Amino acid sequence: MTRPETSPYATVLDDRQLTGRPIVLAGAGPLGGDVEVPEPLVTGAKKWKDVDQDICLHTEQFPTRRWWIAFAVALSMVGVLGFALASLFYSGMGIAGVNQPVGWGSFIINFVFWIGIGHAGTLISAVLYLFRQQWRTGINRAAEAMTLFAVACAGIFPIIHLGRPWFAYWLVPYPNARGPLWVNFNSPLAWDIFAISTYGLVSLTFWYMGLLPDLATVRDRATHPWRRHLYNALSFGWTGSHRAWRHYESAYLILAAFATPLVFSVHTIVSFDFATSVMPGWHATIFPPYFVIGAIFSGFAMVITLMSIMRGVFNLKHYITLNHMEAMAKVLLLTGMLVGFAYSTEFFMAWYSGSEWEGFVFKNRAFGPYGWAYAIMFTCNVFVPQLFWWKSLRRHPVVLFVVSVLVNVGMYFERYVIVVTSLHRDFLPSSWGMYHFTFWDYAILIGSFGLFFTLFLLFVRVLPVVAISEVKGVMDPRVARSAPPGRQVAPLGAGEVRP
Amino acid sequence: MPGAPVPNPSPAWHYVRSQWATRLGAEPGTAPFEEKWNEVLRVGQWQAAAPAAPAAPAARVPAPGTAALLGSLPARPSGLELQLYPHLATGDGRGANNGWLRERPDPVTRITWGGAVAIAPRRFDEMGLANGDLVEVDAGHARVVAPAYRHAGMHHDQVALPLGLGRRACGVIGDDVGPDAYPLRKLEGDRVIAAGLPVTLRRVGGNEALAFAQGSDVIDRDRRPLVPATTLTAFEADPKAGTEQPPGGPSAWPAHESKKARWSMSIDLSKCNGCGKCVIACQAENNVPVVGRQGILDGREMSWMRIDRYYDAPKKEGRRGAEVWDGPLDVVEEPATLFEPMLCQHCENAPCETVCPFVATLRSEDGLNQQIYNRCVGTRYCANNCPFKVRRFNYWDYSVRQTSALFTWLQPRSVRHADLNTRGRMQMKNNPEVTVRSRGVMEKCSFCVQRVRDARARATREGRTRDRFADGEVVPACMESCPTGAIVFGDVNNPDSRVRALASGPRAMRLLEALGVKPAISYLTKVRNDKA
Repeated sequence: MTRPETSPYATVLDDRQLTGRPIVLAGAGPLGGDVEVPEPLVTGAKKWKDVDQDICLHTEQFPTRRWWIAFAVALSMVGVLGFALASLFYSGMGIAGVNQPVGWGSFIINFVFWIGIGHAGTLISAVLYLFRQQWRTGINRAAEAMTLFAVACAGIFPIIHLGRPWFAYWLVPYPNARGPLWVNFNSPLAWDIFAISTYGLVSLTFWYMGLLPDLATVRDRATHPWRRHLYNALSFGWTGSHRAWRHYESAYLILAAFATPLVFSVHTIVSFDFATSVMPGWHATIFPPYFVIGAIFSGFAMVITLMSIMRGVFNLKHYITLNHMEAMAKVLLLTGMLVGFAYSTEFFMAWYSGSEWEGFVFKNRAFGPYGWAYAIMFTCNVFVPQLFWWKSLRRHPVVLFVVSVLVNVGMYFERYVIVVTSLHRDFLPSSWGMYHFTFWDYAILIGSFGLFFTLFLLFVRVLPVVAISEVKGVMDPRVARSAPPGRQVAPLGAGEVRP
Repeated sequence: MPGAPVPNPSPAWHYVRSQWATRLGAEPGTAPFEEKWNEVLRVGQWQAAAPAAPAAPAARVPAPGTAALLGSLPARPSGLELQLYPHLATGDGRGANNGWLRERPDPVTRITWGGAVAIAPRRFDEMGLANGDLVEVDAGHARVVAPAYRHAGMHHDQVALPLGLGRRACGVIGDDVGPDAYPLRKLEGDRVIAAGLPVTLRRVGGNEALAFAQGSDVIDRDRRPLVPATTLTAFEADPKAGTEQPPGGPSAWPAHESKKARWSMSIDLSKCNGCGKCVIACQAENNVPVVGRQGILDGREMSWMRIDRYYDAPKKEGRRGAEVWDGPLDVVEEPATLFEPMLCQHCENAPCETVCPFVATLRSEDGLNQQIYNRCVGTRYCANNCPFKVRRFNYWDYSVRQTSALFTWLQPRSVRHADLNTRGRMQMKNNPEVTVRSRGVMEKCSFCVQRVRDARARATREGRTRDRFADGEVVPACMESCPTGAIVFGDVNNPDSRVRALASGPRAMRLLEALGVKPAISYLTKVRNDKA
C-alpha cells in the first residue's frame, strides 16, 4: 500500500475551500476505488510552529484598542453589578421585583441560565473527548473557560437571592457551634451546594490541567524574564518529557471521565429545585432531562456566539473553521428539536393527565398574561434552529451568530416562563399575582453579563484561547512538520492522522 | 377624708353636693345627708334603686313628622343614584389614621387603603372601564374624582362611594389616602342626605391603581373544589354535600405520631361573615407589620390571615363555569359570595418543611408547623411550595427604625415604613411575647404558639400534665376575636374538644386532599338557604 507523499490537506487554505463533506481521492484505494478523507481541522497548510505563533500572539502583544473598548464596556457593567449588589445587601430584598406569590424571580432565572450555559463547555471538553471527536480541539479551551466564567456568574445568585445573605455559610455542612445544626438534606437547595461546587472544582481542575502544556509554550516563547518566571510557575515547570506527556494523557482521561457525569447530574440537581416542589408546572419528572438538554442547547449557542466573535477578532479562522461551526450548529439543531419534543411532551401530559391544575398552568402559559414570554421562547427555541436543516445556512457566519443569540434569548425566556408562570397562578385563585422586573433586576442581569465578558476578555489576553498541544495532535504531519525532507516518520494509513 | 371639714370649698363642691341631695333624699348640711354622703364616699359606690319594669312596648306608630318626611323625599330619580356608606374600616373617618384598619381589606371589594366608586358590571363594561380608571361623580353641588371598581351584584342604576377616606389632617398614616366623599352629601334644611343622590358619572383620564389584597376572585368550584359550600336542599338530602373533591392517594410516608396534644382548627363558613376581626386580632397579637398601600400594590402583604372573597363562577351548560378560568366575573344578577378565611393550614405533610435548606421550618410534636425565625435565611422556597400561599416574607425592615440618612436617601420607602410601624411610641403596640422579625425572614400563622406555650408553662407551674389541655384552655387571637364563633381551635386528641367533634362531622372538609398535604384545619360547609 502506498501513501501519497503530498497530503490532500496542503491545498485547503481557508474556509472557502471547505465544503463540509469529505474530500474524495479518486483512485487512491487499494483496488483502484475512491477513498474519502475527512476535511482538515486546521486549514491554511499550517506548520506546528505556526500554531504557536498564531495562538500565543495575542497574549504577547499589547491589547488592541478594540480589546480596551470592549473591556471598558464590560467593566462598567461590572460596576453596575457591584452598585446593585451593594444596594441589595444594604436595603434588602425589597428592591427586587419578587413578591407574594412569585417568591423567585430574576435571580433564580439568571442562576439557571448561567449554569445551563456552562454545560456545553464540559460536554465539548469531556464528553466529546471520550467520543474521540477531534474537531473539539479547536474550541474546547475557550468553551471550558466559558463554563468556568458562567459558573462564576451563576454562583453569585444563590447567595444574593437570600433574605439574609450574610448567613449563607450555614448551608455548608461542617461541625459547628450552632447545635451542631446541619443542613436539611431533603432540600434541593442543599444539593445545589454540592452540585455547583463539585462542578466548579472539577471544571477548574480539568481546564487548568489541559492548560499546562500550552502555558509552557507561552513560557518558552517569552523573552522578558518576569514573563518567563510567571508562566513557568503557572505551568508548574512543565518539561515536555515523555513521562510528563504520559501522565498528562492519563490524567486528562481520568478527569474527562469525572467531568462527563457532571454534565448530566449538575443540571439535574438544578432542575430538582423545581421538580421536587408541589407546584403544577414544576412538579414534573420530565424536568431533569428537559433541563439538561436545554442546558446543552443554550451552552452550544453561547459557544457559537463567542467563537463567531473570537475567530474573527483573533484571526483564528484556520483553527476554528466553518466545519467546527457547522458541527456545533448540528448539535444545536439536535438539542433544539429535543427541547421542542420536551415542550410537546409537557403539553400532551398536561392534557392526558386530566389534572385540572396542570392543564390550567399550560393554558395560562400560552394564553395568559405571560403569553408573550411563551411566544418568544417557543419561536426562538423551536422554530429558529430549524434554519439549520439547510447546509448553506449552517455554514453562514452571520446566520450562525444571529441564530445563536436568538437561541440564548429563547432559553432565557424559557427559564422566565418556568419560574414565573408556575408561581403567579397556582392552586388558590385568591393568591394569584403578577411579577415584573424592577430596575435592580435589570441592573443585576446586565451586570452578570458584564462579569462574564470581563472574565472572558481577561482570559483571551492572558491565556492561549485554543488548545495548542491538542490542535497540533490533529494536524496532518505531512503538512505540519517543518523538518527537512527525508526524515523518517512512522507510516500512516491513507487519510489517517495522528490522534 | 370623709367627715373632715373641707377647707375652702369651691363652688363645684357645693354644686356636686346639691346634685346628690335628690339622690340621697336630704339637704346638704343636714346630719342625714352628711351620713349618707360620707358612706358613699367611703364605699366608693352607690346602689341606685332597682329600675322600674319596662313598660309594654307601644304600638309602632310613626313618630310625628315622619309622614311629612316621607312625603317630602324626592321621587326616585330615573338616572344614576349615589349611595354613600361609612367605610367598614374607618367608619365615618375616625379610623383613618389607624394602619391596621386601613390595611384590612374591605370584605367585599378587597380594596385596602383607598376606596373606589362601586359601579355595576354592565355599566362598567359599557363605559369601557378597567379597575382603577378615574371617574368623576358629579352630584350637582359637588364633584369627586375617584377610581372605579367593577362591583358584582351592584344595581345598574346605583353607584356607591365610601365615607371616611381622603382625610387631609388626620395623621401621617391616613392623610391623603383615598377619595373624600363627604362633599357629595347634600344638606337639605336641617337634614344631611347621603343616599339616593342623583349623580352623573363621567370618565376622566388616568388610572389610580386599587390596592387589592387578593388576586383573582372568581372560583369555579367544579374544577377547584376549594370552598365547601352547598344549599339547604342539598344539605338536607346529604349532610356531606359541598365537601366533594378529588381524593388523595396512599401516602409513601408513615403518618405522624401524635402522643401529645394535636392542635387543630375548624372554621365554620356558615358563620363567617367576612368581617376581618380575626385578621386584625392576629396582627395585633403577633406584631405583624403594616406595609402600606405601595406594599399591597407590590404584592407584599404581611397579614397572616386573609379572608378570601370568591364569587361562584356562573353555571354554563349545566356545569359550573366550563370556560371560566380567568378574568372578571361575568355579569350575573345575584353573585354568590363565599368568604374563606385562609391561614397556615399546619399541614401534616407540609410541603414547606422538606424544601427549606436551613431547617427553619419544622413540625412540632404537638402538631404545629413551626417557623424558626432566627434560623431562616430567606430562600423563599417554602413560600413557593406552599399551595395555599399563606407564608409572608419580610422584604423590608418594617419594624426597625432606620436612622441612617444614607439609608433613607437610598430607600425613601423606609420613611413610610417607619411612619406606619415605628414612629414615636408606636412600638408600644407590639406584643412583648412575640418577636419582631427582621428583613429577610419568613413568617406565617403559628396557631398563636406563644399562647400554647404559655398554657404549657401554666400547667407545669400548677403541676398538671403539660401535654393535655382542657378544651378552651388555649384560645388563639383569631378565635378570641371572632364575633360569630366561626373559628374553633383545640386539641383534636382530646375526646371532649369541640374541634374534634366538628372536624369529624359530615360538614368538614380539608382542602387539597389530592395533594396529600393533610391540613390541620377543617372548613365546615357554607349552607345557603335556598328555600326562603
